[in-house]
Amino acid sequence: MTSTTPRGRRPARISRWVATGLTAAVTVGSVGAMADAAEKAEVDNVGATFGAVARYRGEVAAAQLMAAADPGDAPGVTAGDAVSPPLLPPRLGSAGVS
Amino acid sequence: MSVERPTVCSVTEPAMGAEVTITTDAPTAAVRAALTIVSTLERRWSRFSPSSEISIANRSGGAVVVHPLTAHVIEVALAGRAATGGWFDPTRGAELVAAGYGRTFTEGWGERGPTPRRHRGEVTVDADTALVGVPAGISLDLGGIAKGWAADLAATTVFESGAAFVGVDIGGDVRVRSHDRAIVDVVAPGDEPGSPMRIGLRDGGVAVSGPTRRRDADGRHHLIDPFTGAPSLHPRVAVVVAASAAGAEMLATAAAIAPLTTACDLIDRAGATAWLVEANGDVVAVGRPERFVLDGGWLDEPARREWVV
Repeated sequence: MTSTTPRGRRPARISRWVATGLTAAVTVGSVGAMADAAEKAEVDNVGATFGAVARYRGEVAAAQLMAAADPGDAPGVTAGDAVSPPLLPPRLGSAGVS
Repeated sequence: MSVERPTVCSVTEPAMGAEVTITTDAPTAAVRAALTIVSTLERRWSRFSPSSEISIANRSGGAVVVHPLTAHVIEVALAGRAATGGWFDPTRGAELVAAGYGRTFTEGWGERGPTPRRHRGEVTVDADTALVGVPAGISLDLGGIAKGWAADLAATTVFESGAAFVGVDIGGDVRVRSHDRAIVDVVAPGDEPGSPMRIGLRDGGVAVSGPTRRRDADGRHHLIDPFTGAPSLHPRVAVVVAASAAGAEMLATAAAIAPLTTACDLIDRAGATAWLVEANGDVVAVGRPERFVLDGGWLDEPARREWVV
C-alpha cells in the first residue's frame, strides 16, 4: 500500500515548518540578544572601571580578577581599622616567591 | 544530635609541584572537596603531565576540545596578557623548556637549549565550544595563573559551604575569603628568617613572583621575558594584592619583569596594590598599601629587602 500526500496539504505543512522555524529563530535570537546586551553592559562597566575598553568575556574576567582586593570596603578603611581579634581568624596563609 | 564544627582546620597536601594548605573553620568535607578541585585542576593543566589537557593541546599542533573550565582559564590568561601589555604571557611554554624548565622544579633543572624562534600564529579559544587551537611551535604554560586559579576556586568552594573564613595557600599564592579581616604573612624576598610583612584582608589574593626561589646554582630562573624569549635579565620581586589569587599571580608575573614604570602603570590601571622590590632593596609601593599592611616586617628593614639570584 502506498500513501500519498493530498496536494493541498503540503504547502500548509511547509508553512507550519516555516512558522515553527521562524518562531524558534526569533526566540533564540531574543535570548541571544538579551545575553549579548547583558554581556555588553558588564563589559562596559568593567571596561570603565578598569580604565580600558574590554572587548570580550575573557577581558572582563581578567579585569575582575586583577582588581582591588576587599571590594566592599569603604575607601577610607585602612588595614588596622577592621582587623579581627588576634585569635579569630588565624593567619590564613604565607605568601612567598613562586 | 548536633555536630560541632571544628574551630580551625588546617590541612596540607602536596599539589601543583608545591603544597596546598587550607585553613578554615568549615567542616572537613568542604576541605576535602576543595582539595579534590585542586588535584583535578592539576591533572588537567599541568605542563609536566603528558596526559593533561594542556600537554595534549600543546602536542596537537591544531585544535582540540578541552573541558570548558580549561578553555575559560586559557581565555582569561590570554586576556591577562593583553591587559598587561604582553608582560604576562601564557604562550611561552617552549621558551621555558629551552631555559631548562621542562620538568617540575622539585625534579631539578633540565638541559638548556637555544631560545626558540617565535612561530607565527596565535593560540585561539572558542569559549562556547571549548575548542582550543595551539599552532605548532607554540606551547601553553599556565604556570602564571593555575595555582592562583585553583586557590580561588578552592577557597570559594569552602567559603560557600558556610565557612566564616578560609585561606587557601598553594605554593605561596594565597586566596582569602573571610567575614572579618584575616592575616596573610609575606616572607622576605630572599626567604630570610625574621618577621614577615603582615597583610590584612577579607576577600582577595596575594601572590609573589621573583627569581629567588625557582633558580639553579648558575642563577638561571624561570621568569621569561616575552619580548626576547629568554630569562629576564633584570627581574625583581613583586608582591601583589588583588581581588583574586589568579589576578594577583598574573600581575606579579608581569610586574616582576616589566620595566619599572610599566610595572607600576599596569598595577595601577588594574586597581591592585603591589610592592616592587629590586635586588638592592629599593622598593616601590603602588596602589593602596596603607589599606593592607598591618606590620611592615622585612619591608621596614632595608637590609632584609635585599636579595640575590
